[in-house]
Amino acid sequence: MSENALFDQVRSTLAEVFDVDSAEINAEAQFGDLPKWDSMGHMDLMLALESAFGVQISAETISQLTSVPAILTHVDGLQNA
Amino acid sequence: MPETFEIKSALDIPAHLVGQVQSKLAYVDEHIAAASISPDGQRIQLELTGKLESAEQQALEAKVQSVVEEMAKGAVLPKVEILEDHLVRPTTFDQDPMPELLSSGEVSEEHTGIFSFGPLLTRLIEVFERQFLALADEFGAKPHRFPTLISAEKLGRVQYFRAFPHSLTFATHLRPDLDVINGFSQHAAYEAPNGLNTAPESFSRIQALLSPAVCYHLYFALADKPLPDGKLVATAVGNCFRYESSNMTTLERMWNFTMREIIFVGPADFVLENRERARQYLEKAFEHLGLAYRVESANDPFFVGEFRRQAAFQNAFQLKYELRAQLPFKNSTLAVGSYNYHQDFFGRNLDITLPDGKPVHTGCVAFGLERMAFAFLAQFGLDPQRWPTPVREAFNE
Repeated sequence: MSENALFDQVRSTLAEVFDVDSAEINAEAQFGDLPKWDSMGHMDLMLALESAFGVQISAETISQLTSVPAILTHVDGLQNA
Repeated sequence: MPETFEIKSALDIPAHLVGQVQSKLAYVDEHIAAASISPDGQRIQLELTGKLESAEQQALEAKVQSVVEEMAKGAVLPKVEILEDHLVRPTTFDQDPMPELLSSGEVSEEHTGIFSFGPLLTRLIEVFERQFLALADEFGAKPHRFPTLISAEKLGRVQYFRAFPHSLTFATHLRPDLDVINGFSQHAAYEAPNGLNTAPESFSRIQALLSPAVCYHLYFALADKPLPDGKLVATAVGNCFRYESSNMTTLERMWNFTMREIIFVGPADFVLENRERARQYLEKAFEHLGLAYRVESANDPFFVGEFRRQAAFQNAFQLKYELRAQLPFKNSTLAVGSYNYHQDFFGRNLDITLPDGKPVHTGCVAFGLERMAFAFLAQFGLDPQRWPTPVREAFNE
């Protein structure tokens, strides 16, 4: 998947989970930037990412995926593993 | 002879969740007097308050299965981080202190989960209080006094009702109406085992609850304004109330207990550094007192619907560590205190800001004083002559 396509898919996952328009999510968005990206929202996002990309996110990783760049790097790495 | 009822769990309950699920089963149905889960997580044994009809039994089983599914399905295996392990520290006692505490009159149970203490426990608690006050002094913590009641409106603002509905205790009063008040004064009576015979509509709507924690009061006092000086350390002791249903059997789980807290408010690094400094300070203090315990990662007792996500979040971000004291008589441990970091949760929800306009971060060190004393007595018994010298000397001061 190209970088742009991956970003688009991550952005649409965030938009769906946090109930906002995709345009409101920029490439640097992070935990706390969106009203619903709080502790509960973060766990919803982890489940949604697992489902959208067919990957498993471990307890060790959950605390690292607190920004769009971190999510992109991690999902890209898992998909290419 | 109590009625028992065994259920084959629809899915295997992972070992790390057995205790958590078991404690929640106390809230599933009023017919459940006690619940236990087999070590393999496959069978649930319920002790019931009486015989159930077949349809009632089926409904009960459905509720139990739904709790198991909600809490255990897809649960993330938690990281277990042990910051200190002093469980092997030598102790001098291996009996349950509760029977002797009750028979000697040192503890009396006023009602389920409500206990009064005599001089031995009171003075022992003061020994531990002095340790926590010394810690508070070390941080220059400002003393505060908080009410026993807490605002329903403010608790709602920090989403407490969603996270911990099961353990709430509500405060109410008679409606200010002459007929209601006269009717109550003429007819009110306690009817065992159901309680007061007063009709629910005689009581006012809930505006206040009995406080479940100490530090919330500080955050509420700081709400909706910038934090002066951008950082704050405070300390307070207060009555706390957490309804534990059929889990309330000894001093391990009391409905009404007292908690001493040291509270940190400020930027993230300030809170995290102070939380760690407090842990290191108390590690030396507890070594001096001889307490056998371990400090390990933990999560708050969220209710069923919130449990899986909130517990996983707390674990992933290492937000909570519990100090679990050894209970030799049951080869188990009891959480007597915790080191907590709330990130900017209270700052955001209560609009408490730093000088740069960002929400404050908060954290606290919290100790249940009765549990501390109970765990100590479980390790060293009721005879002060068998206690570690520093505790005995402090006790006799």
